[in-house]
Amino acid sequence: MIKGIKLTEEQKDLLTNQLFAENSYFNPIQDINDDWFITDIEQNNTINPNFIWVKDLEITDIELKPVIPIG
Amino acid sequence: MRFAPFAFENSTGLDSDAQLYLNAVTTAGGTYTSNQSQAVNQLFIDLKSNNLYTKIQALYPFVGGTAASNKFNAKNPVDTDAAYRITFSGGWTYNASGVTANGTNCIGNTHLVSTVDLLDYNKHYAFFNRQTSPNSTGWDGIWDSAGTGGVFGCNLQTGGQLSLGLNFLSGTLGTIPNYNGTFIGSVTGTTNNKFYKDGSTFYTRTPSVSAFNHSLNFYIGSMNVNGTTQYYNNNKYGFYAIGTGISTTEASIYNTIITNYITTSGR
Repeated sequence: MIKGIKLTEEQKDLLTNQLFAENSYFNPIQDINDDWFITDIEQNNTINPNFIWVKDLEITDIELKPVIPIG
Repeated sequence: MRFAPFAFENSTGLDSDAQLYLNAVTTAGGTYTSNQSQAVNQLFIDLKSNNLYTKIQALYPFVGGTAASNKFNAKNPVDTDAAYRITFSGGWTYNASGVTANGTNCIGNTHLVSTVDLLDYNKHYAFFNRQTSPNSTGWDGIWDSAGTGGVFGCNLQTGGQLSLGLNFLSGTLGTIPNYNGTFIGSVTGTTNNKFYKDGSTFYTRTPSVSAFNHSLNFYIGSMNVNGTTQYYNNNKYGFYAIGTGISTTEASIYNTIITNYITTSGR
């Protein structure tokens, strides 16, 4: 379990491939329930005025999708 | 290891290429101490005097403490993808010790392409990791396609295990005492390719390896699996470089140079 910020599908589309700070792009990914989220690091460091609204979104517990080791 | 009797210095007393890199870091808003600039200078001098500099395509000393300053390929510190700057995505953190991936959604796209920049039987990666508790499932690098496709990257597993793919995934290769140190993977031919930990041979892969068929950008912080990002790691990188293949002797010297850089830059 980690801390993250859940996004709607529309919010995810708005943030994908967009800068939250210089040379730093949002990377929304899906949790175990296929809900989209970004990390609190991305939220805390957002200075792009177009996306300051992410700072108003609630931080919640996120359960990551299990990763099957390879190799 | 050789020490250069003469170095090409500018008016600041620094190697001219080191100075170019540090200028780019400063222009990008990065900051560093005198010790760190001297460490960068010595890194350039040592790589050049030991004939490793020409074998490196992309050199990332990770200086300045910001995404903008850490992105530069120190060999060509131009702010373009063609110069192999790193594009950071996700929750990276940056400080005087380098860059840290969060194990959740970090991508560091080096823009080195598998079929263009990384020769199939002549390539290496080298990095210094400060993470003592890796998340086990994380990888760096590229995987040509799920299944038996070519692989060029590294996975640090918990429990004292290390799995390093060069051109074919082969499971856990062995046990290491710790994850803090230098990791080098080098492909010098179709067979007998080597992985090194702290300058010593850790594993020799004797079976022949395959070529890459897909054009994939080499990632750090996660793995580019045929165009899909997977296997996010939580590595703490103090140094990273990618280039052409190196010998066992060169790997040992390379480790000394990297370790000196890490130590003298206070990492």
